Amino acid sequence: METLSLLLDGFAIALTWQNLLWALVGVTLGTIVGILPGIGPALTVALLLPVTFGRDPIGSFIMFAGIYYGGMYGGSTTAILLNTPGESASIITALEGNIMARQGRGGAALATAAIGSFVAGTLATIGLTFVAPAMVQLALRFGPADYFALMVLAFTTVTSLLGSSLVRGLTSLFFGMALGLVGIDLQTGQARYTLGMLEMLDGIDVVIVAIGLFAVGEALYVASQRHTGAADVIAVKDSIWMTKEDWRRSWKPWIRGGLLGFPLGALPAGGAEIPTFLSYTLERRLSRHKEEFGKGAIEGVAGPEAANNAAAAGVLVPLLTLGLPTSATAAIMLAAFQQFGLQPGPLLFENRPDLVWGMIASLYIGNAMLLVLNLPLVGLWVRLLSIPAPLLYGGILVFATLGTYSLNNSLVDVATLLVIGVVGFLMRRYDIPVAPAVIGLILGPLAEQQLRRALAISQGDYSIFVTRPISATLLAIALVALVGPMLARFIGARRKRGEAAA
Amino acid sequence: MTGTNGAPDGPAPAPAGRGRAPGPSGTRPTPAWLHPDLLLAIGVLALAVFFFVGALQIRVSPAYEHIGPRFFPFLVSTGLAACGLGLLAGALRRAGVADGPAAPAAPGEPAPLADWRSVAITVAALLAQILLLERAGFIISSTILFAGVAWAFGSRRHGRDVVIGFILAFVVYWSFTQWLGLRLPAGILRPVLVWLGGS
Repeated sequence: METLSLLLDGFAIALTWQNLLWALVGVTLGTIVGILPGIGPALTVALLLPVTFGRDPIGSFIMFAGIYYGGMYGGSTTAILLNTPGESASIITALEGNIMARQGRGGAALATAAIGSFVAGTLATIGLTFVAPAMVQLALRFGPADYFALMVLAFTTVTSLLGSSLVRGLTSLFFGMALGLVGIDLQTGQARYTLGMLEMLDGIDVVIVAIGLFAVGEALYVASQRHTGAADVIAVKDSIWMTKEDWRRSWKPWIRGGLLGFPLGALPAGGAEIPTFLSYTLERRLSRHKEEFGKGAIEGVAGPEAANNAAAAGVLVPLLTLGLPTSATAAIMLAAFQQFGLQPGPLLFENRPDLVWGMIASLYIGNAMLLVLNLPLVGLWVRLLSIPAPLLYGGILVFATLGTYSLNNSLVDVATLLVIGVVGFLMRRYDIPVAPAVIGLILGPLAEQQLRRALAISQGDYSIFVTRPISATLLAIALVALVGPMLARFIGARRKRGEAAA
Repeated sequence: MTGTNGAPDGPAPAPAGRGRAPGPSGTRPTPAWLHPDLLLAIGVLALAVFFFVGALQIRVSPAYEHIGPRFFPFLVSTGLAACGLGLLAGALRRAGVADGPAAPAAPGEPAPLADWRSVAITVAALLAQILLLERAGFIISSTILFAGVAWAFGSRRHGRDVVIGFILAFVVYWSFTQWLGLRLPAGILRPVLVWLGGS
C-alpha cells in the first residue's frame, strides 16, 4: 500500500532525535496550557509563531501538533479536578469527572480519561492516515466554485453549532470577515479600509486577533468577573490504576467515543464540542448503570474524553487536505502554514510529503508520549492548578504582548492587540462566541478569492455554483445546516406553545 | 421550571461552547429600552454602516473584471447589517416580555457582576506596556505589566509580584534574545545586559 510506505517514511522523519524533541516539547507545552485555565492550544500556537519563524517547518509543525493533542489531554485534568473546564471540549468531562473526584475517585477518572484519549486518539490518527489520501483524491477535482461552496458550508456549520444562537455566531463570523477585508486587495492591488495607515496595508494579522480575543479579551473578562466564586482543586486520593471493574466499564465507551468523534471532527462541522455531547448522551443510553449518571459514572468520562480526542484528530483531515480550518486552533495552524509559505491542500501532499507524513507519524508518537506524561506524572501537573490567578494572568499577558510585539517588532501591533482585546471582552460580555470571528478572518479572504476566480471562469455567470454537482451538493448541505436548527427550534416552540395552551 | 429554583448541586448540562457560570439571572426586570442586546445591535449596525460606506470608497480599476474589490465588502457589510437587525428584533421582542418567564434563559444577558476597577487596571497595565516597551525596555515594561495585572486580579503582595515579574521578564528576555534569535528592546537596562554578556 502506498499510504503505508508514505507513513513509514513519515516515521523515519518523526523518529529523528530533533523531531522527537520537538514532539516532546509540544506535548509537554500542550499539557501545561491545557491544564491552565485562561490559556489554550490556539493561543499557545499563536504565541509560538514568531519563535518558529525562519526555522524548519517540519519540526515546528510536529511541535504544533503536539500542542494541539496535548491541550486535549490537559483539558480533562482541569475539568476533573477543578470543575472549570480548561477547554470547551472538556465541558462534558467536567460533569461526571468532577463528581467522581469529589467521591475520592479522581485517580480513576484521570486514568480513564488519559487511556481513553490514547485509545481514541490512536484510532482517529489511523483514520486520518487512511482518509486523508482519499480526501486528497477528491479535493483534486475541486474547482474554485466548489471550494467557495465548501467554505460557505464551513461558515454555516461552524456558526450554527458554536455558541448560543445562530445570529450571535453569524455576527461573530461577519465581524471576522470584515476584519479580513482590511488591507490590499490581492487581485487588483486596491487598498481597502486602511484608514490611510501604512501599517494596515498588510491587513490585520490573524495571530494578533487570536491573541487579542483569547488572551487579552479573556483576561479582561475574568478580571470583570473575579468576585464570582473560585473553585477548589480536589486532591487525588485514590490510585491512578483503574480496577478491573473500571476497565470493563471503560473500554467500550473509549472505542465508541473514538468512532463517533473522528467522523464528526472530520466533517466541516466545528470542532470537538458536539461529539463529546453526543457521546455522553449515547453512553447514558447504553449504560447498565444509568442511575449513576450525574453521580459520577465512569462511562460519562471515558466516552466524551475519547470522542474529544478523536474529533481533534478528525479536524486535521479538512485542514490538511482542503486547507479548511473548522476550529480556532486549526485556524491558527492554517496561519502557521501561511507563515511558512505553505498552503494546505492536495498540493501540499504532492510537494511536501515529508512535512505531511512526518507530522501524521508524530501524532502516533505524541499520543504515546502523552499517555506516559499524563498518567504517572499527573501529580506534577496538578500543582499547576495551584498557581494563583493574579500571577497566572500576569504571565499570560506578558507572553501575549511579547508574542505580538515579536511578530514585526511593532508597537502598532501591540496597540491593535489591546483594541482587539477590548472588543473580545465586549464579545464575551454580550455572549458573542469568538471562535467564528477567528475562522471568518482567515477564511474570508480565501473565500473571496475563490468566489472571484469561479466567477471569472464562468464569465460572471452565478449559476456555476448550482450547476457543478460538488458545489451544488455542498451548498444544499449548507442550507440544511442553516435552516435545520431554526426549523427545529420553530417547531419546538410551537409545540411548547401548544402544550401551554392545552 | 423558570430557572429561579436552579439546578441541584451538580452542574447543569450547559450547551457546549459557553463557559459562563450560572449566575443569579432572571431576578432583575430589564426596562424595555435598556436591554443589553439593544446596545449590541446598535454597535453591530454601526459597524455595518462603517464597512458599507468604506466599500463605496474603494477605487474600482477600469480593467475588465466580473466582480471587483467592492463586491465582497458589500456582501460582508450586508451580512453584518442583517445580523444587527436580527439582534435588534430579538432584543425588542425579548424586552417586551422581560418580566415573563422567557427572559432568564435568553442568551445575551451580560453576566450580572462587573468589576470595572479590575478591568480598568488591566487596560492601564497594557497601555503602560505599549508606552514603555521601547522606551524603558522589555524587562522593565513587562515587570510593570505583570505587577499591574496581578494587582488588578486582587493580589496585595506588590513586592512579591514585582520580583516574580522581574524574574520572569528577565528569563524570557534572556532566552528569547540569546537562544531563540528574537530581538527585544533592551531599553535603559542595556548597559547592565551588555555587562552580563547579552546584547
